[in-house]
Amino acid sequence: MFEINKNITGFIEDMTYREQPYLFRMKRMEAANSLRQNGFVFQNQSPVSVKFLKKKFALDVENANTDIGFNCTLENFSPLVYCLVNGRNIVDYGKSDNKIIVENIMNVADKVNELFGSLCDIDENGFYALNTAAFTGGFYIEVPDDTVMELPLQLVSVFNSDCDSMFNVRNLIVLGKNSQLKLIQCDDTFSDHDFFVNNLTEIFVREDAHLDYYKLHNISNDSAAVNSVFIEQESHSVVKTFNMELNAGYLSGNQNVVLGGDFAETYAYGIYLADREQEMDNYVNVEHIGTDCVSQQIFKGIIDDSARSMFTGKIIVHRDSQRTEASQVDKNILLTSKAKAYAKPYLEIYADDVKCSHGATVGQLDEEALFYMQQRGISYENARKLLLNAFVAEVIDKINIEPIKMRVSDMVKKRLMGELTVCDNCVLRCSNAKRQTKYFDNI
Amino acid sequence: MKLLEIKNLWVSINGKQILKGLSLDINAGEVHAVMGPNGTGKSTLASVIAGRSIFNIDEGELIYKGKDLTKLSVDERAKEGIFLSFQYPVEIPGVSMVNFMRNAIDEKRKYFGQDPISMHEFINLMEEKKRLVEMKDTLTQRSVNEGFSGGEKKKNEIFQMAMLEPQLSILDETDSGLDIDALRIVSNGVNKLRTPDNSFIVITHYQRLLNYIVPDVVHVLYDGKIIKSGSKELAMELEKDGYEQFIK
Ligand SMILES: Nc1ncnc2c1ncn2[C@@H]1O[C@H](COP(=O)(O)OP(=O)(O)O)[C@@H](O)[C@H]1O
Ligand SMILES: [Mg+2]
Repeated sequence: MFEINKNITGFIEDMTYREQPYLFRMKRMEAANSLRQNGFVFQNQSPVSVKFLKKKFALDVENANTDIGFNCTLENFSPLVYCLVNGRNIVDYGKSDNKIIVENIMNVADKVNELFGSLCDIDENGFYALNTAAFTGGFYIEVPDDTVMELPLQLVSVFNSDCDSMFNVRNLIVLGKNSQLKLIQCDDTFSDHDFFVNNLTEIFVREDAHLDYYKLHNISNDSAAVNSVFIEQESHSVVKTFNMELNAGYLSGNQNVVLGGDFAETYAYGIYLADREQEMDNYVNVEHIGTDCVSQQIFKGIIDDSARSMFTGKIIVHRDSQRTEASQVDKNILLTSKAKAYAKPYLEIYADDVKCSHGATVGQLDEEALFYMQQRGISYENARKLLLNAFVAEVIDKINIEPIKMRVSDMVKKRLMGELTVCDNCVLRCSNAKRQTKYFDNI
Repeated sequence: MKLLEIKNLWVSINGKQILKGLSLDINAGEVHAVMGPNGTGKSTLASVIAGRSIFNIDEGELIYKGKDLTKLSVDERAKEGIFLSFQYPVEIPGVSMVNFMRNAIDEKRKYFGQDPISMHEFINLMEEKKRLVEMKDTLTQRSVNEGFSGGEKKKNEIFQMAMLEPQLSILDETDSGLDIDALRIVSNGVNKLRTPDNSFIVITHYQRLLNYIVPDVVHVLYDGKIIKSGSKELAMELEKDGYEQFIK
């Protein structure tokens, strides 16, 4: 049984006693019980993930400063921006839009009564239980029926602490019938300290609703993030998720999608670029319950130095889910002999009329292509870069917010050249808090 | 003037000897045909000139424009004017023809201290060279060689050759698998580039190509060595009576 730090268990205890809505107290107690009984259920234990989980983090960080002046400098990009500071307080940046509801989840227990925790099984994963027991706040977003959000919504979790800290952030998002939302979520830090963020987001996508959900991960080498996302889709809904894992000491993405209604579509795209000792793991689970649904998973990883990645992709097609189309691809390039990538597809198909495909590759850069390019006068370095960019382009080309596509593509280029360590202009200011001290400048 | 001198070249891969004391001199402006049965080392010779590092040079000299070629990396050789039309052109998904060619041209310009090519100039150059090889417009909008037919790939090699204006071009079985039409187009492309300064090594199995690209010298490569050299009539003899007559 995997044991977590005493300070974490202490904090969980503490959280159940605080004054709070009945719903949350009950949920916390259930989760705390689960942790006590099952231990910290943690499937993919590796030296890196264990190292981060054993590290001592403070959990009860109050706001140091909420006036953080977040300002995204993406050109031609003016989304609605909300910041969540230290997983507790929401700061909005003026441009609020009365079409949607953005609240701190702590204040809306009555609204989320039926939904909270309904998609995630706390016994399945220690991080789910931990989040449920110890969350301190998070976004509640509601897009009313028939509401089309023209502007993207950017949710930034800002961490600003004077010691190494762990944050448990809990979000819940509801897209009403026939509504549309483009959501960008990122983590940002203004401090020199390491952090561990354990995000859990439940998303309910009602009939005919459309969601594009971007997650940008660009945190320091000494920080870790676990992002667990649960999506329930009703009929004719369409969800696209983009998981951009650019930098982190340890990253773990869990994405669980339930296609509950008929004719729903879900597309899960991801890029992970791991180097040094980093580890980036992705778990994607798509469950087809309705008929005539489409699901697609495309993940691409570039693993350098002695970094490691693990992709686990599940497709479950229930017996009555006829005319399902499900596909899954995970491709990895290893840049060194010490780099490791593991790909594990799991398919469980119980219906007959199903088109299903999956493929996983782990390989090196194509030597023949490198030679071919060099023979045309392109230097080895440049040829390598062109090939690596081409490799991730399949995913980047799917990004449908042009400024983000350009910025991500630029960041990937820089990252692949090893230049992001002087991150001048990234979507997040964060990744080099240790090396750079101009945190409060425009990013 | 000698453009390329190969002296007593011995080449092996994984301990297997492929070239066994090959010598060859090519003057500026000449076209040399290299013929020979499969597996005798023709492509190996081409790769070694281009600088492919998987092959070991055990002995011998490669001199290009009076300088030791082995001191240059693959891309430096290309920038210095060596071009290889691959027997099997490589598909590069995700790298567009335009991006690929622009990188190649700009790197070469940079190497010679020139500014990058302007978009305008580049587009004009592409259009001109596409016409030369009668290449379909859509091909340059695709990824390098991806999904190209065999003939399109070979045309694309000649297109790239025309774009890069090399001094020494090596055509490795560019004619294999081409129909008469494509053969004419490819040969035409080559002939347009024939100048008193530019040289060609044309590797082929068939005399057919040499009706279009008339060589100055024909060599027979067998078991890693050139066993016979002669004028273009040698190609006819080979076609008629086979290689065996020269093998003892
Ligand atoms: N990469 C390689 N690894 C091992 N053997 C090779 C390799 N390339 C060529 N050879 C061997 O070298 C010999 C000559 O091959 P090649 O130069 O391709 O001949 P040709 O072009 O004349 O048909 C063949 O026996 C071939 O099997
Ligand atoms: Mg050959």
